[in-house]
Amino acid sequence: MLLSLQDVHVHYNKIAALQGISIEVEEGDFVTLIGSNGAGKSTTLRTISGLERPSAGEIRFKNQSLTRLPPDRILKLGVAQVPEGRRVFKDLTVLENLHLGAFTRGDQAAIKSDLESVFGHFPRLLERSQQLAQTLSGGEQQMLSIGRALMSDPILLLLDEPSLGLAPIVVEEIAKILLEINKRGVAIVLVEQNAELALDLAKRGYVLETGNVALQGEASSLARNEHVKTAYLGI
Amino acid sequence: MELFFQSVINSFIQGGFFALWAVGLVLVFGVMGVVNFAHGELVMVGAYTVWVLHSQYGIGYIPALCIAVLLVMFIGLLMERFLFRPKQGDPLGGLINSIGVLFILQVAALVVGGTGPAKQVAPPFPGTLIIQEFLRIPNQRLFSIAVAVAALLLLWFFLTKTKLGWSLRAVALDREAAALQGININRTSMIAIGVSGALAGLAGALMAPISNIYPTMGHNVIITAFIVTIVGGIGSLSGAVLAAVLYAFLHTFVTAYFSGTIATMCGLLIMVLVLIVKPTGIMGQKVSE
Amino acid sequence: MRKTPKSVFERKFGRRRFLGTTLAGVGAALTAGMPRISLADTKTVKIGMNIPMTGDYAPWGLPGLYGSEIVANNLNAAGGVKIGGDTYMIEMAAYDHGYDTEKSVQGFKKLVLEDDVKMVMMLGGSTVASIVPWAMRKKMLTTTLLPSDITPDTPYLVATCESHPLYNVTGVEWLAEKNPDLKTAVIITTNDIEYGKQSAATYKAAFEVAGIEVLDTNFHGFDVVDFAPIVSSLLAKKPDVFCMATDVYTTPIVEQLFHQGYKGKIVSCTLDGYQDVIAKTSKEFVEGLVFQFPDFDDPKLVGGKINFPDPGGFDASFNKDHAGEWSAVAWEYPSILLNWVEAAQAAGSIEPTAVLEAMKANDSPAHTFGPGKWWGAELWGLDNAVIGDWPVVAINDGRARIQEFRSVYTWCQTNVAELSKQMKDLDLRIA
Repeated sequence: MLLSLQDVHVHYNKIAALQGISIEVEEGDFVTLIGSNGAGKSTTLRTISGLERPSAGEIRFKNQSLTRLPPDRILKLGVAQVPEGRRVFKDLTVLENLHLGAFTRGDQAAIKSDLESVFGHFPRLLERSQQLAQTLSGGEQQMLSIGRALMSDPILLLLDEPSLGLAPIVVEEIAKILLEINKRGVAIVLVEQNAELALDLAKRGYVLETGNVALQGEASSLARNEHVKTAYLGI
Repeated sequence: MELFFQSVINSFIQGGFFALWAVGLVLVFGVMGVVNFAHGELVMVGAYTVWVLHSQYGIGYIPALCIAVLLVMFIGLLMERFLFRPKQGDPLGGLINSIGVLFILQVAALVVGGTGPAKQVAPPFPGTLIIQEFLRIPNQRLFSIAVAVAALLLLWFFLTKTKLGWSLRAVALDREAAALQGININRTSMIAIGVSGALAGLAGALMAPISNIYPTMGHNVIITAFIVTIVGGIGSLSGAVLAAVLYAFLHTFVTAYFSGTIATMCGLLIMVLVLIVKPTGIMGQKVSE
Repeated sequence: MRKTPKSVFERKFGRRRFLGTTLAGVGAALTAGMPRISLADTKTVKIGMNIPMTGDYAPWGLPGLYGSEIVANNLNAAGGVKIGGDTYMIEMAAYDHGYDTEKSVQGFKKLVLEDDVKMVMMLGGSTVASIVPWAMRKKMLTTTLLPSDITPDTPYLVATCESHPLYNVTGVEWLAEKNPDLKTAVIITTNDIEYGKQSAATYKAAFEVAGIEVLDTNFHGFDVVDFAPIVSSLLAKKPDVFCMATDVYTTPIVEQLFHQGYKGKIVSCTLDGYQDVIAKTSKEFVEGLVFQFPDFDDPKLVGGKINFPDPGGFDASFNKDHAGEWSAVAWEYPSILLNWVEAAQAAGSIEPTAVLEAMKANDSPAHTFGPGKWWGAELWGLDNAVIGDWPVVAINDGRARIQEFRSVYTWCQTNVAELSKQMKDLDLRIA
């Protein structure tokens, strides 16, 4: 087991955002979390990364507890996140953004080869490596955000709504790259509103409703589920 | 015409100081989200340190200056660890804590220096560089401006050319996203306030031989730093430096040709105008979502 | 008189006032608990000082308390003072108002009601104005260092020592006599009413009377960080005399004059800490700089008509305990204390109204630098200031030395019309 959440509760002030969520991710897995707005998908990712503290429950990564660790320690263990809204450092260049992704690493040779592999995934970032991130288009910023996360050489990659606000053609491109990354052995947890796309890409899925896991299973079987079809796939 | 040339010289010297005061304030605000009201007092402590060590105990000016830099940096670090960190995410709490520090440092200065007239430090670099009979620069000011410019260049190099510098800017731009890159926010805050304190200590040490030294001298510093910071764009270092030089020119020329009171009024007026018309300042950008 | 920078923030927060009071309170609590040693047959009379001991104005309060304690201790050590058949020990009771008008009222009432002081010595300005209604109702003998605080409604407020800024006239008069070729002057001063404008108006009158044209007067605030621009603009007028009417910033101003190559004469109201000025410029540059406040070890203060016991000894004992804290008020408050002793002895009473009556009855009251005269009606509406001779001081070979004594009284009598005109021009209150 790579990552497991056991009965995780999270409260914002007094309001419960997660009410006992249990999720499991295997090594090299591709898991998606789907659900409507406010179901707790983003909160789940934020909690794994240490941006939120669970009020109860346990998060374990490679048999180590993450529950009380700060974000920088969690990243060091191999959990990287592509946050919602991309959140690239707009006043820094593309190259500086990518280097910050590798902030905790010291091995220059390995960083260099990872940089090359990111540029391999996203040739446009190489063309624009000296530009300020704020000059990039939305899709390019998303690529930069993913590339930045990859620069930490993660074991597990968390992605929060990577398709949001992007043109279909760009979404497709990003989807292709996610599969490539997964194929290289990086486990992925993908939060998506576009459930159709998410279930298409992922191996397994969880359906979150009001802070609880409502359904879970193989992505393909979830896609055939009547409830999922009516509620999330619009069929 | 003589007044014009002399005023240009005066402006550059003043601009160097204004910039030195403001960048430290901007750095701490950007990285930590705290308005450090005690920033002017940190400058004051730098000046007092030089007065005590150099004028009272006869230690050389340069060693005294270095000790001032380190001491004020250390005070900054203490402030971060014990006052600002517990108030993370609470800008008002941080502000109030910094006002507390302001009081404490002023009283400390009174205890160290006593009352009496403002303290003075004899210039370690006496004499005047006379370019023309009407164009004169005191050697002490020449030294100060050279050191100030060097310090600002060093800061610029650190922030734009080193990974640690990028991490500071990343935290200033987006704390959470920075934390997700493995950047330790507490450590970054320590670096920011350490650099800010060092610059404040340096500014104080450079001011010591050319201005009155008294417990409340920090007020003029903080007011000018606020004007420069707001006009330059809160959180923008290059904006602060540019605004510092522009404001110094405005202030110096208005003072020379009209009056100092009008000059300060102009500064405040421009600050208010910027707040109304372009709240992000001349170089500032919209805060990212 | 001089004054330090005053900030808006300080007025708002007033934290040193808080701290000062706390410390004073703790001190009072501690001493109150201690047994008092009382000497048989001697009484104690308390003299109050309602002054700034913390804050920016502290340099014009605290050194005065130190000085007064030296003089009081000397009098007590000599067996006290005999007043009306009783022997009194003098005790100073001080309150720190931090130059806050409300705390000044509080302190004044505390000194009068709780400490039962027989006179209250104050600095002047807004902190005196705020206590005037209550003090006058109580008929409390009160002193100020600023004669301009006197109005027709302040019969119990006197200024027996410092004649700020009237003494400025003697320096200008002396300089003009020695240098008949001086034609023009510029003045730099702080832009406050209590100190800066009073002093500037007096200098303007003095220059006018001396036939020197004032080309420019620069009123600056207390927020000046760098005097280079102001000095540049004043020097562009090519004056023969550069006049500093207030001296908070004399050091940085003279420093700028030095660096900007000024060659003319310099006149200043005061020059506390002139050794610093010399250190920042050169002995040669400040040679002949004229101001109004002597060192108290000056040989010209020995003997003659000087009404201050052993100025040299006073200077030495002040500098032994409070080195570096000397300012003009160090001897001015004690000087007023001595005026009180003289008047109380004449009255045979320590009661405020009786002492005041004796003071005013004296046609030639003892002023620090010789016999004085009651004056002020023509300017402020009441003859409650004592003016007399005042020294003209100049830097000679790196030391402040009295050049000669000149009569402020004679100048004022002759030129009060010009003085009134200049005061009026700067919107200052005159009778």
